[in-house]
Amino acid sequence: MLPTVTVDIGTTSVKLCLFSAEGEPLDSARHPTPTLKDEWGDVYDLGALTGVVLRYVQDLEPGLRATVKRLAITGVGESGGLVREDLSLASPMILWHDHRGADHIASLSEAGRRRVYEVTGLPVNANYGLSKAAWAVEHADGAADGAQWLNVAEYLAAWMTGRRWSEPSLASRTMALDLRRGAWSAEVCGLVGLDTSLFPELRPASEGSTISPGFATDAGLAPDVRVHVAGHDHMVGAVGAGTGRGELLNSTGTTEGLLFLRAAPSLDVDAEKSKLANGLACAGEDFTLFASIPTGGAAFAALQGMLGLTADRLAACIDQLHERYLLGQIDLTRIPLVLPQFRGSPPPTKHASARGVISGIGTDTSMEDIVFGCFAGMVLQFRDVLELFPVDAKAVKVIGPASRNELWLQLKADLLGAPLSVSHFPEVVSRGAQALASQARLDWEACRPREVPADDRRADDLNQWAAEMRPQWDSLKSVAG
Amino acid sequence: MTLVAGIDSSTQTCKVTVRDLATGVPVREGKASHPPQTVVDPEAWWDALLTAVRRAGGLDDVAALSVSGQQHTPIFLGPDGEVVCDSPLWNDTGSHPHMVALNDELGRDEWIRRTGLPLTLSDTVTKLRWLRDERPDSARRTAAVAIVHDWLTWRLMGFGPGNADLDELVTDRSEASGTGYWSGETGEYCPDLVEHALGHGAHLPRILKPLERAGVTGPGIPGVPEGIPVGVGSGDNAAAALALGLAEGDAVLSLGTSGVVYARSARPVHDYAGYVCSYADATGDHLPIVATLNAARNLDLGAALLGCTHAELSELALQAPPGADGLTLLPYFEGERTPDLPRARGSLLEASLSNFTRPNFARAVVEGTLASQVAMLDALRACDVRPGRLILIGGAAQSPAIRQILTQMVELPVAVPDLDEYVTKGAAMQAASALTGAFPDWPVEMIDLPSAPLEARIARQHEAGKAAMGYQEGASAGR
Repeated sequence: MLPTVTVDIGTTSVKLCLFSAEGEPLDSARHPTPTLKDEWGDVYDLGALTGVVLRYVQDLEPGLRATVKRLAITGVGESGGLVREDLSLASPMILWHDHRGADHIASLSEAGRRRVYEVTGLPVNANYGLSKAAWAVEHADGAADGAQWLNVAEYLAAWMTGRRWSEPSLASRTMALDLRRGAWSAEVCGLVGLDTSLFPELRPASEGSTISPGFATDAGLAPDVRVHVAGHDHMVGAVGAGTGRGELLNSTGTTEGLLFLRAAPSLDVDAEKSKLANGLACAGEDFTLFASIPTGGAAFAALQGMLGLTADRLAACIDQLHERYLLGQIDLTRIPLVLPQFRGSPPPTKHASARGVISGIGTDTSMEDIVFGCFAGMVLQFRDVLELFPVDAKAVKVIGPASRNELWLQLKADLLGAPLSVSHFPEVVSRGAQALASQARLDWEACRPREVPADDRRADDLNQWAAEMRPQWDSLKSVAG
Repeated sequence: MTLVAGIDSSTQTCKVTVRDLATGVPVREGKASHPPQTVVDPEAWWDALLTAVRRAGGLDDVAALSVSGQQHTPIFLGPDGEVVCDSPLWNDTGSHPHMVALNDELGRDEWIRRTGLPLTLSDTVTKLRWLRDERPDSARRTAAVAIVHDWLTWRLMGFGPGNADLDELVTDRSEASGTGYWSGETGEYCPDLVEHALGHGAHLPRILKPLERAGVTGPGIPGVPEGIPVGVGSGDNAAAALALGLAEGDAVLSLGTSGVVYARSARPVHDYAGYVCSYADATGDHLPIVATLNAARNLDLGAALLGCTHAELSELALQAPPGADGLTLLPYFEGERTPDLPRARGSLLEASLSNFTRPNFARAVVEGTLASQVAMLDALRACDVRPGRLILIGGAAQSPAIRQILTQMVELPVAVPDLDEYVTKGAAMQAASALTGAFPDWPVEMIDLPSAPLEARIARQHEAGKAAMGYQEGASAGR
């Protein structure tokens, strides 16, 4: 591969890495994702974001910086903003979970929604870029002429190169792309009064663009360094994990993603009802079938905040609970049932307004019981979402921060009654971005995976508990929305 | 200085307070813990009383005493005055199916018509059925049934195993009114209800009038002088109401182990909606009461989960806005009596990344606790008992958050009396009356809390939470 600086713009943090030609991280940094609140919701602080990236490159040890051949950018899908040709903004750069454009798709008929799914492979939802783009045009007040819709990762690439383009896996999260044709859909754009000219040319992850002379000077990089938009972070993770068809990629960040690669999209009514999201893979001809659980690692933040624990204390608590769980010392009957929808619900409802519920709290309920219940609830939610897919996973690959959470992993393996293969390598997504920018392939062994086996007795106990809790669980889901 | 002693044998502890007869000012006190279980050997309560007496420095210089105690909880006595089995406490939820059975057999409204009680799992008559079904041998051996204060009074008068004159068992109207086999209209027991629940009749304590004397203390009781007058005694809420000088138009919100709302009324009530229990007070009037199982201990749990002190919990709660940004707690941690949800547990609703904070959680605990209590005021109003002032008492009344948030949840003026042990004070007033023939006129200092605009969203959130969880009030009462 080629020595690469990767930028991964996540929900809560921006990760920056320098990878060697051998794919080993030589340097890394992490910053809180800079966001602001405007009158309507949440937007990126682009000045701060570009500052973070520029300083990271500038601060690299000069000898290392001189080796850099590629800049590869990945990040959350579904964010975006209108960017003029001179790279000035015609709208704010809107976060993925901001629903300011919801009114633009609220009146779509059932038939219209069905048609959107058939064309784009996405269930109609205000997370996706289309409604945000419609909102942005409406609020640009005529000042959007020539502006184009860019994801935040694509904006960073434009800032570095002076050129605007869209990467296909990110484009397939806008709800404006004709999935099978791999081109912007005039029909779907027309449903919200937009023209496909609002969306830029498509350029796959393998095709980069040379950095602008100004950026080269500012960053201290060689002028022939090329910038690649690697794609949607979960899909880039699939590349980093060498994911094949039939394998489930379980990527765990602030949100939790479930991803299968498929030869063809699933556009039938069942998939639509399940609100599974089809998309384009970052490399090759595959399609992706994807579901996101909005509260993944974000549950940590919620627990930390509410219980007033430091990250270290929470981690120690989780470790102790894991140990007790392995020793059979957890009495499941006293564990509260936690529906961890702290930021909306996953498919098949995908209600942004859904909220979390903790039930079954008794006077003897402890902080540890709630922490255990939260992770048990997260794996119940994971299984519910997995059951929506028309695929039997022949392997489950886990990447991201959960690969260090033994309790979460073990509960998941036991509930599924199947082993998990867990990456030891921490930056699978970033290295996937490097591979895409280098036009290289990675295999799973490079992630130094380890197996988390299911235990028959624990699996029986956990599944029996889950079965007993099922009516209450279903009831909580209806309560929470 | 003439001294009198008031004894409160409550759910969690036994407290003895010795007071100056002239002023009511406490001179000394002693406390002893009760077992935490909900089915308890009554000897533990007698032992705790003796321990509390000892810790109060003994009662040798005391001229009279009287006992108040947890309502409802029965003591099953054999013909020789022996305790035949452990007693299920009023808050033991094991008697829920027996309450259901009694309601099914006679009809829920019939119990209300005859006794003024929407039968709950707490009532003594429900415990009689529990005894019949769960401890049949003990039921057969049961010759008499007394409530905790009745039995402790009897023991203090020197009766018990070896000196078992069951005819000397006495009680008062307030205690009788919590049994589920007493009529507020007639002031008499309903023996057929005892027989119906227990399967046979039982001797019941004689009901004394408010200023009657129970008797005098017996010999050989450690720390208790022989031959001093013993007051009639009462249930704990009636004792507190007496000590507070409750007038018509006053309601009391007591936040202790249970949450209780009561008001003084000249007449008994019959709440066919199923919430208000028509108890009697210690003066000859009535004391309609609504109660929840979960109250002050909610704050214990909240503090434990947040890993903070009660003072910090209060500070945190006051940092959060009314409604806790939507975070809503239904505090049915031990099941609940009002509404009737014995198998429910606590639920935290509407949690999101943005509102799941320590201040909001603390506030949700306080609001949830108070929302259950405030809902009970509506139940009183529905019985045409319309309070014009709310008096806040109980351990949790000292919490600044409880005080401030309560004023945001009711449109009544709220007053907090000086910190005192009002149950033992009421008992001591009964002791005084046993000595002088009249209740003493002991003053009560009250602080009027500053009023605050009503924050209606708090009640709305809790009603919505209950509806979402299928806990609509009245939906399952008595079933």
